[in-house]
Amino acid sequence: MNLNLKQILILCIFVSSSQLFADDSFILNYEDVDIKKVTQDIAQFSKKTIILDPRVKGKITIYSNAELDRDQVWNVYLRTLQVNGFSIISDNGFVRIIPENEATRDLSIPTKTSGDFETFVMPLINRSADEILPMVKPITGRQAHLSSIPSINSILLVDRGSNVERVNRLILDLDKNNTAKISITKLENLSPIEAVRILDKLKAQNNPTISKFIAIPFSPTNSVIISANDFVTNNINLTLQSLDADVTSDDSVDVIYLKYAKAADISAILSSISSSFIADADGNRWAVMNVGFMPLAPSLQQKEMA
Amino acid sequence: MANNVASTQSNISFQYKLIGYRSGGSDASVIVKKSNKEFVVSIGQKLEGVFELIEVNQNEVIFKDGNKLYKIENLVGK
Repeated sequence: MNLNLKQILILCIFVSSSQLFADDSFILNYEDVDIKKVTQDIAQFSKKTIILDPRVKGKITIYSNAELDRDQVWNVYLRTLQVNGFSIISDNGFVRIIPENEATRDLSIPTKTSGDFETFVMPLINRSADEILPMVKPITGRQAHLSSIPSINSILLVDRGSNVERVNRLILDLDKNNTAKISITKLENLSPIEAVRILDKLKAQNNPTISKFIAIPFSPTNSVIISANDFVTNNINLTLQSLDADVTSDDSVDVIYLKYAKAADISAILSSISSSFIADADGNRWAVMNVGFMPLAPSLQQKEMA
Repeated sequence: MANNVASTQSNISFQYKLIGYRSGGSDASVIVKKSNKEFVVSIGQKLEGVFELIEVNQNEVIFKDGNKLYKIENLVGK
């Protein structure tokens, strides 16, 4: 008998708790209802004090078949107001509804939720505010206020919280130090003159990954002096490393860059004297005759000197 | 939308059109319209001090005046 009473008690608790749970889900549907009446209904439901600006007028339509909890009902109401061009301002426990364009001018706007308006001053370090402004303008909100403060090289933005974060990230990216830096890249095998010739050809193609740079060959140290931003310098270095490695990728083949002589002429001369080549102890072939009148690649010069 | 007008218990004075509702147990409410006037009524409250809202669900809305029941078919959002 005791067991039966316990079972009944548990069943009662289960039923009442499930009833409570069921009460916490709602379905909303409004069809062309005055915004004031919907606000009256939601204020009563949410136990919040909502102050409507006299300019807040119009009809609201919400269709929903989904079951919503209390917070979701409130959020649906807020989003509906936003869609209709109104802003919600939480103000000392009250909620004020005002036209969106007025929200950008309101000085008492808190910065708590992503839908609220925020005022943000973004100082720039590497670029001028006037240069950044036109790039940012297209992604600001419909009612956002965007202006530059030249005296402190900053951008003033009043926009929704979520958009302020987005714009801030973009501005940080745009404001990155992108000025040209001087760097020296030392080559092991590739001639710096040939390296610069290749780089200049790449630059002529207007490829954005390798452009806007100055490259100067420096033969005494077999280096290339590069003036470019970090991004382009990095790409140039990768290209040079690849070319530099390609030159010696196969020990049996070497590339010798000619400064004055024509490759075809030299090739003919080398062919005619190839019979006079003798193999060294390692099997490499070397010309006996002196070809010192033409410049050799550094690696070949070193080998010849040895 | 003609079906949104009260039908049960013929009473010429009950000519309200349902234009919005929030169903959800004891915390339900409706917004009804008569002529150009809109009324917000929660469960347990009386519409114009006469008709008590006793039931809101996705199919119908029921008001009560004494022993008389007034049902409005719920076609909002359908």
